[in-house]
Amino acid sequence: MEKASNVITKIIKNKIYYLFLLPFYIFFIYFLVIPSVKVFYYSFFKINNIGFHLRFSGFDNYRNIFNDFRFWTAFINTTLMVVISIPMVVIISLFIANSIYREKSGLKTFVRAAIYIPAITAEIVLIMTWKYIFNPRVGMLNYLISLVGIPPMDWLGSPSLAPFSVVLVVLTFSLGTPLIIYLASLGSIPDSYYEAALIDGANKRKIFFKITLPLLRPTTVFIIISMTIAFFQIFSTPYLMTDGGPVNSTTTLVFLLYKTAFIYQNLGGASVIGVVLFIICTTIAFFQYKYMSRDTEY
Amino acid sequence: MKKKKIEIFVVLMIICAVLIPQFIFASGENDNAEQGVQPVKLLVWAEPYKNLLGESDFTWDECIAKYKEETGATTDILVVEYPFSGLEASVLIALQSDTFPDLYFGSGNRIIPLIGLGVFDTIPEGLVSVKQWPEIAFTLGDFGGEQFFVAQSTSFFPLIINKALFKKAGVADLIPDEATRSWTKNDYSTAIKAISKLDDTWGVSFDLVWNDTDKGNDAYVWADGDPWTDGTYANATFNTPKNIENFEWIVDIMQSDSVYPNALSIDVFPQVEDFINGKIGVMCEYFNTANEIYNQYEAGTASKGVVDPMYVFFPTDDGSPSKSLILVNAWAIKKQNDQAKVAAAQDFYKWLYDTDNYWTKKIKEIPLPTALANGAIDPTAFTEKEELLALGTMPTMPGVIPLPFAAAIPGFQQLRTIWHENIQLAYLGKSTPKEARNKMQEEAQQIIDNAIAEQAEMTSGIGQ
Repeated sequence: MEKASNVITKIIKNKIYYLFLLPFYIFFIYFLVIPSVKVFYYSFFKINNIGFHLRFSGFDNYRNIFNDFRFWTAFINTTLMVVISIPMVVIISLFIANSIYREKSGLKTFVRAAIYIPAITAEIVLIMTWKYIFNPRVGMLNYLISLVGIPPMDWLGSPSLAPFSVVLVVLTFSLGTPLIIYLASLGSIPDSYYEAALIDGANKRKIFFKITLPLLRPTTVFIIISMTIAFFQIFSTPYLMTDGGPVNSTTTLVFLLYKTAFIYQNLGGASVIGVVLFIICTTIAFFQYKYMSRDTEY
Repeated sequence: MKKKKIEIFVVLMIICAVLIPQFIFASGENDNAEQGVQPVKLLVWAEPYKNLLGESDFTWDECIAKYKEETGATTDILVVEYPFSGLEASVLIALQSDTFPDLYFGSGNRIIPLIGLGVFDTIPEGLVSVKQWPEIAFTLGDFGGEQFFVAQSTSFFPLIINKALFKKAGVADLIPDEATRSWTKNDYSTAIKAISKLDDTWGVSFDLVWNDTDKGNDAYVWADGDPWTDGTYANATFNTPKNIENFEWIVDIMQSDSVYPNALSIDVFPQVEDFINGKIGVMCEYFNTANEIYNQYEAGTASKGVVDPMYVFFPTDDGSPSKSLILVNAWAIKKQNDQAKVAAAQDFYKWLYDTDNYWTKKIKEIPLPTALANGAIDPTAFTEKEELLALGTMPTMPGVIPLPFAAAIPGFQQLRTIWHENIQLAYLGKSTPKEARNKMQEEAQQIIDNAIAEQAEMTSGIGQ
């Protein structure tokens, strides 16, 4: 009680700052918090797609969704994409950041821009470009592999290749932000640590694993958590590249949520998928934070 | 102190800037009400006609001005030209938020399921002149003896063949007859095999993700098989013996090397360009694309020695004309309690269907020979070009059986997705065609049964 009163007192004391934050919180609550809470509520109702009539249906929506093989296919696809992508994002962005950090500023700026530009380019542009690259008839990728004698492949038409093609495209615009964060974090590690290690005779490999990597741990945890949540929400790439196919091989949970709501017109079922996604992301973030984070002081 | 007051003033100004527009927006209706009797406001959703009209100077503002000028109407009409992509989501959101338009123009595939859900009102007798529109325009919009719309244009999915490639491959004798546009499955198979033996050429291209779920690829099955359901729209017919047999035939072809690459991805490009460049023998395409191909051919953009397009029906066992799915575009009026809006929508509807007015004269400029306005009863009023004339008249040729609207099947949208899944499995060789059709039948019947039950349970309260 006393704690709450302290908070209120602090708010009153700093009201001017809270007033500045108010517009943000109005939108945040109205467009994010309230809809999120409503999704839980709607997941227990059958919803008429005309006029929004609700009928309480208990756990029917949950039962139906969990009995639908499409849900489990989407769940497995999404999990695989996360499991494959997250280590790749971390390893590649860390490798690039570590490689260019001590290079001349011209090269550093070029690499940083080259990797970051896809992150700020409209996804539709990237996806359309990649669709041409993957095209089995006129695509650049098949041409390149033909130079080494590999026969042409149907990158987006084969259920075994399509998920990897989608992951590859997502990776191209997922590396930019982690790279920038790693570069910033590398800058905050004092040079004296490296100088001491060099005096002690440590080689580059040892310096990386004994100094750089441990000191980047908070950054890595942040990147893993934020990228895991982002990868669980992959939607536009499969939507625009493959329409979730062939044979649902690239259907992700968010894509299935969209289809359940707007194609199957089952808003209650879509709410269930939303709830499941919320639980998955929250649980993963909780455990990742609990077991991977550790205060690091430079 | 003064500094703090300025800070508070700035913050309040920011909050006002954020919130005031919302209050103005929310209170707009009340302001109008206070000012006395206001004209009825109609919200209209229409397909982007400008795209269809090409270089035409048509604009909705001009059209509405003409409507008011010709009829003296005072209705305040706002026309929104909706994008084609994501339309299902827009329709659903509009229904949920009670912002669905008073008057809607679009394809029958979207209108018909909404009729089943009670979104649209019936069209009063006499609103559209039976003298100005052919009988088929009324027949297509009649459901359960009630007139929900009058079709304004029709189209269908043809196969397009390149006669030049047939000749080059030595199978000119397999080109379908000009008069009937029909051919046998044997002729079809022999022709595509021969064409695919030419260098850098494919016998046939499919566009499976889109077409098999929708209209095109499944047309190979129901060309002389059974449509999706029986006449009651309540019983699925996916695994009838004839449908299984037809599906086995097309799966065999799909798995052969006569097929253009990329068939299982969502965009089979550059399919159209390759057809125009004489690399594909047979292709299934949307009506508008088919039209465009012929226009390019006529304009000389496509080399006449390389491509010589002809529109034909899907092949059948005995070479008789295939069943055809006829698609329609029409206007439909929203069912609502506001009678002033309904009356205003009906007035505008009547004008839109009056073939002597500005609107329909403009519509006739659309290069669709099957537009059903009175000029379209005689397609030559639109074009003298032989293939475009054929394209316009094929759906009504003798022996052609128009298929019922798939969209009238309860749960139609869900059905589209199971076609997608099961057909792709069979094409990939991961299930036999028979297994795929049996599974489709089982899932389809379940979807239809559920949809019928839900429709009955939840339509109460609609239109309130």
